[in-house]
Amino acid sequence: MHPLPVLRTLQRALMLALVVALLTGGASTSFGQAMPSMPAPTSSNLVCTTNPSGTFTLTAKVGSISVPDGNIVYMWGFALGDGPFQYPGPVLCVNQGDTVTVVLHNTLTEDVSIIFPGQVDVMVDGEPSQPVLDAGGNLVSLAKAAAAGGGSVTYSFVAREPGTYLYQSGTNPDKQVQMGLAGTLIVRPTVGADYVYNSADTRFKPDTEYLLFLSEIDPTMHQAVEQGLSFDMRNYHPRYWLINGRGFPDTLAPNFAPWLPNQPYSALERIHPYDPINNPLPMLNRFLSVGTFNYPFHAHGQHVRVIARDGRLLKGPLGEDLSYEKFTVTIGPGQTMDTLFRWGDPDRGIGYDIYGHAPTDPMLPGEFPGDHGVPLPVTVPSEQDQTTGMYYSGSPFLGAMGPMLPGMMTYNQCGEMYIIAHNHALQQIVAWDVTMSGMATYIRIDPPLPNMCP
Amino acid sequence: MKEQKLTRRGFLSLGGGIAAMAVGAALLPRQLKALLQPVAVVKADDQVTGLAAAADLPPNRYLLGTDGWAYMSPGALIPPYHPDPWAPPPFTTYVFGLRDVTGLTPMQVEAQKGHVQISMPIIGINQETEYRIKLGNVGLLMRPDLVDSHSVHFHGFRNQTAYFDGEPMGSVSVPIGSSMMYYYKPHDPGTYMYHCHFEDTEHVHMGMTGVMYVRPIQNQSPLNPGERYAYNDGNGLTAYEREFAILLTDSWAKGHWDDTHIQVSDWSDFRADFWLMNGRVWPDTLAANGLGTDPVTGDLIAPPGHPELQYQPISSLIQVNAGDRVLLRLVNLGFDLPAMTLTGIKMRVVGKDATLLRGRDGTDLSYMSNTVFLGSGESVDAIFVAPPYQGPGAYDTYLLYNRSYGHLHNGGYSGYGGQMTEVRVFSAGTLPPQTEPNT
Amino acid sequence: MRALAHTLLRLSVLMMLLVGLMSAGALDGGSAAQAAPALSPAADLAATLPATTCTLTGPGIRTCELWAKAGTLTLPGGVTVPIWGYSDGAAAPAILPGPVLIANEGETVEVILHNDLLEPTALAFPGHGLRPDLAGVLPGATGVYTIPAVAPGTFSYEAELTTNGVRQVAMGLFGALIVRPAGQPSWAYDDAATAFQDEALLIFSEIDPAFNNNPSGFDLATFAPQYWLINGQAYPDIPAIASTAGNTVLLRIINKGMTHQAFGLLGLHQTVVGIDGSPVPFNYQLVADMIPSGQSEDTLVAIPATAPSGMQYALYETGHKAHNGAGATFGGILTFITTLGAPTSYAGPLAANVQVAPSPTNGAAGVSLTATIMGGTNIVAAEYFADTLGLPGSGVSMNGTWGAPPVAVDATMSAAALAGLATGEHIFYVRGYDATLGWGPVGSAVLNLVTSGPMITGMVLTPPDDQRLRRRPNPGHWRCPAKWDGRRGGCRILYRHHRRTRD
Repeated sequence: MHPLPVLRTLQRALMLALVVALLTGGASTSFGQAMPSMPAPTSSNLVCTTNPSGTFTLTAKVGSISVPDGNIVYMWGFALGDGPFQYPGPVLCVNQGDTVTVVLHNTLTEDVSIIFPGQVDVMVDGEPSQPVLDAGGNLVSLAKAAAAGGGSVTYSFVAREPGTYLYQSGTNPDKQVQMGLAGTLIVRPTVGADYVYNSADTRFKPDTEYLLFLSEIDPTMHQAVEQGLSFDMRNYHPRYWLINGRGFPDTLAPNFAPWLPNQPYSALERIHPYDPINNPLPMLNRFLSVGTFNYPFHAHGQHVRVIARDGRLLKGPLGEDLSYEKFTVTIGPGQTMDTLFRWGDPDRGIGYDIYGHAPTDPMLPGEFPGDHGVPLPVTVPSEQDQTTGMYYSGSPFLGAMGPMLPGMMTYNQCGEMYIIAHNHALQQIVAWDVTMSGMATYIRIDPPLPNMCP
Repeated sequence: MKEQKLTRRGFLSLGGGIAAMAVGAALLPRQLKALLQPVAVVKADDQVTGLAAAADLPPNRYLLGTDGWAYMSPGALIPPYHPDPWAPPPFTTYVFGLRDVTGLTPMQVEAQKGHVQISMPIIGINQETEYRIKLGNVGLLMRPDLVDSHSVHFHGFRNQTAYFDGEPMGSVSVPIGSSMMYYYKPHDPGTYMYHCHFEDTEHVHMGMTGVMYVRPIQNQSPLNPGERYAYNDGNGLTAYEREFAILLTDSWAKGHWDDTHIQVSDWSDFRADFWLMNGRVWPDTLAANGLGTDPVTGDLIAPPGHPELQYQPISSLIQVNAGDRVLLRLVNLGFDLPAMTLTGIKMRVVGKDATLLRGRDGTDLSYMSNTVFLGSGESVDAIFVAPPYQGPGAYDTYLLYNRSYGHLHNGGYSGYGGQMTEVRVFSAGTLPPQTEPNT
Repeated sequence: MRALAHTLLRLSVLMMLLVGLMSAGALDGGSAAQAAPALSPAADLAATLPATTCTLTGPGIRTCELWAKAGTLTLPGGVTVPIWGYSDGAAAPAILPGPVLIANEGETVEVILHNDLLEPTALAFPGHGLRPDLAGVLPGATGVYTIPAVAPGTFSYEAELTTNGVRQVAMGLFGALIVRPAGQPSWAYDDAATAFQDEALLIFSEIDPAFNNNPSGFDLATFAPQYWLINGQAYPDIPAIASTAGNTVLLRIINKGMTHQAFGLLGLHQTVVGIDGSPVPFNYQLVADMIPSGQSEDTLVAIPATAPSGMQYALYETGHKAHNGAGATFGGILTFITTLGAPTSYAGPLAANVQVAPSPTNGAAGVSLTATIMGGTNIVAAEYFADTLGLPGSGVSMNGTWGAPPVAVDATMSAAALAGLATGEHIFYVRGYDATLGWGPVGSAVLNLVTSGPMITGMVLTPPDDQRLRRRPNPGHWRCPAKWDGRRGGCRILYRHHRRTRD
């Protein structure tokens, strides 16, 4: 007897039970947690902080973040004005040519400064920003600092070149940047906010702009700082690796997820398949690193095109295209990188219909005509002969969902595909001793619009 | 208290669960959702019935996931981890991998449980040609308690769908006792890699890694008769006479020992002790290739004179004639970053990550270098021209080695080891044309 | 031409010393900036590379002589470690890095190696087409290496891979080999676009003292650098790279360490023009660079003509290893590209010592905002903003005894004014106005306003919480199919495997 109809009935019963439980709001997941009522999701796109006069106040303050193995880590960070603590620091977005003023207010017990790698002619309190030496001629800070316990300084510069840049503490940076005093500065080109640089081939789809701020944490060091103890940096040993201050799967949570109040930035990348007419523009990833290690970041599903490094477009003196494609980009400490990504091949196809169409079904935008209606060229094993993942739709086809075993939980909503993007130094996709965590996120490819996706 | 255990790691349901709830609006049960979907939704079952002909095509390659033993520098004692006291002599290290069991009988296939090979076979496929890999899983001989599945991730394949991508959380993988067919129709020549992605930190580290490359269609209409290329360069820039695929990995002795001795590794403590080329450490990198598969047992035949390398059959010795253009397909699946240096000979880096170094406007971006630096998951295609033979002796010796000298040793002991091999240049015309990579 | 340039440099450095000393007394009290550190001419990184070294022993043949021997190196803090290094004389001490060999394009470079070590050693010349000498020169013996027709670029030499070659390099047996383009000693390659006015050689390496004290027995897998060096020195011993506004500086960077090295430049971009002694097909700019072990790189740094005087552009390690040993202050790979002259100091009004009191407060008694305006010559106004910093001149006026600085300014906010603010933190910004120089930068202070609920002060946790990082251990009766979750005290599951059932 074929077990499938029995399983399906069982599955429906379980699903109904789950629906009832959800609706009554008293459900527990199979993991012993009550389900809170969730607000409507905000996006996972890069969140810009802007100001009409280009003036920002950053407050260096104490806070904490949540890491995926259940620990809370004591942090220092830049908050926006008198707003709440956040890590990483606010993404400051300005336009090319703007005069940017950053007032640093310091509530920590050490002097803190800000340096702006990649910017030129930075002024602090009216003078060129310069390394600060003590009476003996020894360096105490790479820039004038805001004194501990309430001091402030004002930095300003003209954002001359578009691109992705870091800002970070220049005082005891080995320690302070590791503690969390770093953030992102984005300068938008004069041609428009949906371009990365002043070049037509850097145009991207604006609601698919994503931040990937890469960092790591040694919790023992943070604990020492919290307790006011000294820490020998020779014993530095990171245990957490993060994207936008979060470890997988928190990287998938939306921006401003309430259960991650101090880690506001998502890393879930949502796109639709490439289609030269309806969806021709790629998504943009802005990478930054404040780590100690060269992070080899590998996206499945497609190469990324590296168009710029450290805020400089890869173009020759005569406009030659120096961009290149990589399936793994290595981001070194202190580097930034801008990459474009799109998925789907309307010109060459993949050898079968990725939507599982019958030949008589209408074509979807971006489909390769030669693939339309071509069946999947392999036999799909039955559910008992597969191990399925928690983001799988149950079907090999985009936009389709298929049956899964009873009790199998999936987060898939509408037949979308989840393509992983992660640090390929695989000992760093962990949260201490918890594997399948750390520096990883997903690229979520939704079926073309219109679709049933929420 | 000795911590676990026999079962697998967990996943962080709290973060993931609530995240998923929030990513969607209302979480409709999937069955209800399916009812609301357009009629065009097709279920996998329906696909099967109408597809008898296509779906039953035999695989080009049948790979079997299992475990086994490998040999690396038994003199580099790292007590209690290396050599593994439970390793059957002459082996030292417990590994996972894939065996190529294409063409073996079912009984022979089952008999390969515990007889894995590292690195996994070098697979070369042709652009625009369909390729099917059947992945089977017979379980782990040393660990009957582990219910690990396996998958194949063709690392770098463009426009891949989740189903064939091999990433288990977003897709499917193969449990013990089952198999699955992967399908590829590559459009992009170059050097890739393939590896298991199921619990990839562990499985990749344990040895489930191999080189995959795609030959360009320009090979079918060469600019000069018989010429072969790395890419569709249109001008012969990437032509070569000999090719050598070098897979770079590393090995943490405790990590391997943990899997034999039923312990769980804290991967944030990872620190490699050995560094490998094609699954071997220097000086074993110089030993010849294994002699294929025994037709009776289905087991691997060791390289002559090296019974200890029976399950590490891929040689990294580079032997060329003076004047040969030599393609190095360098692939890194270790967790460290090697700086692969070729003394005395400059290489032209022509491709990275299976992409010709050429701008969209045709600008040639290839460059000369002595050192190729590879992050984990990167590949590099570099071509050097073998310099004139000088002698005396049958050949001139150059070295291809990892200049990150903190890693050019076996287990920290004196002398050098790890990722090093020799480039031996013979006088022109000495060696016959190459028919297989790494020969 | 170079001699003239050197003379000019020395003169300018001396002038800078004088100017620096003179201006030291004119700095404002509110600024902590100091004059640029005194540079002795001999210690200037950018002034130490001669046109050529070694000796021409025939037409187009340049002969260099090196002795490989044991020596010592003094590290920051006075620690001395044994090294093996090259010297340029039979009696001369080993230096780390070894003597720099500088030749001209097209010459044949002949290097005579004397082995004063107790084991065989050989020389490797990466980037040149020499077969590796794996047998080496025996102790006490001499070997000769010949590199024909050298091409321009930044190259290196190091101990070749004889049996102990790796450890020999780690002990310090390395140096630079520079080849200048024919007829163009101030170009990096045969390309006018690689012209420079100043050049600096930067050889990165590391020291693990435990290794240096036991080079043959040390377990290399445990090699953990304690010191990071440029040309054998760590900050603060590394000389600066003296240049001037409008100049282009060539950085010849060679990594002879055991692992890759990350470094960046603050305030300027660097343009990569060569790798491993070959020009790159197209230049590209970087802020933070990363150089693999063994590689050499040529980068050009263009200092704008409008750069202020007395600038120090930091060249610093970006991977959080800028320290010496256990030191907590700056160390390691860190130096500066400097421009001539004294740094300009700000002469206008600075709002210092901004305070708002009382804080915390419930606002019932209002608050008082005070500050001191320093700098400038005639302070005539000050303004403040609450929470939102506006354009200069658009704030609320403050009171003050106007005139020559320092001028105390103040303002009060009544309880009624505070009632309009939400409970929580509020930032107050203050600016001063000088009659000649206009508005200056802001100073700020934070007010902690608690308008509802009790105020909590003086909170102390006894005993202190040092248990923050903990897992809840499995009490023993949870048998998880996957893994125990210490955070929530339950089991976590990654995959569900359906065990195949036979029917």
